[in-house]
Amino acid sequence: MKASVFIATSLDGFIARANGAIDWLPPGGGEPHGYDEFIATVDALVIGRKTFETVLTFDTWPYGAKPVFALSTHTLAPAPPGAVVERMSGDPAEIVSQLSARGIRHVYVDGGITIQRFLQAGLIQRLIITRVPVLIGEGIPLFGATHRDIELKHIATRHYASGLVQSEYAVAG
Amino acid sequence: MRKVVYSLTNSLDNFIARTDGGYDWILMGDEVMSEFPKIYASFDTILIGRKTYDQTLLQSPETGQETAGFMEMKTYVFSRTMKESPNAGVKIISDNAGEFVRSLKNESGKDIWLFGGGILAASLLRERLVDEISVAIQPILLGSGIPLFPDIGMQVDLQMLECKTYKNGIVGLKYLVKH
Repeated sequence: MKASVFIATSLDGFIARANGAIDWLPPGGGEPHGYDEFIATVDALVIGRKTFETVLTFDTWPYGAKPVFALSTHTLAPAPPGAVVERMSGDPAEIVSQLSARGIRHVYVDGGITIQRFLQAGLIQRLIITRVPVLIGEGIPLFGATHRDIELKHIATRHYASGLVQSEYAVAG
Repeated sequence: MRKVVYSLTNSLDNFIARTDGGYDWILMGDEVMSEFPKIYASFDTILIGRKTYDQTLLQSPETGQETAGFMEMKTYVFSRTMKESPNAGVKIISDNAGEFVRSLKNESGKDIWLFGGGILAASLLRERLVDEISVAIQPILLGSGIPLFPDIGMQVDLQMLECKTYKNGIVGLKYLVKH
């Protein structure tokens, strides 16, 4: 199973302000930058509990009928009608083997801590990072501590009229 | 007015050096090196924090000898603790960094290279004295180290000016700081 990350960060590497706010992102996600095309390639999402709870506050459920596995050791808040959400728990290797056993071939891993845990475990194969032209000064970082260097292979970088720059990397196995 | 450009290379997780100052992970390559003469020619003055100066500039990589200034540019080291200049090519700025840089920008000359480290860059960003940020992003995650942008504590809006990719995986981005 392949796992990918598709996320926006400030130039200083934050995915949200310290209080979780994403008001610094361009409204509505900014100009189209490949999210729809990316999401069409994934069979399911794996998100952390915090991300799940943040998404619940959005006006509309963003994942349609795509299966979402929310990682939590506790019962989840109810998802809106139409959403396909299942709770899962365990370390990243266990999650990957459970998802693989269910025939999932490409998963989108989202949420700061969840991304960091999967990266640490060597279970992310693709990083697609969209840089927003702003420094926010402090906040929740995309990347965290690692036990070792993680070498990447640059695949492509695209830039958009609004100043978004999207770089795609394969994580060296 | 002369521009202050924060120009350097960093890991994808925004570190400019390992915790011990090490920069063994930095890729260069001929394609990147071939741009250096043009970059160097745009500057005649360099601003460096004391820690970065200690870690990167005390010795020539070839001879191990102490160097006089950095690449024959006017070199200013920002330090509250250094009392005497370590050599004739280096001037110490011990207080009012912002005021000093503001007056430097009004002098005639080429652009000013803000070489780092992050602490000096953050303080000059807070004072709205940085005009451009130019990063060369290396295809690696270090997990820990000396941060590129430590605790600026405020939002700084940018405009993307240039985006360039190199065969060895480095992504060069240049931004204008909106004042």
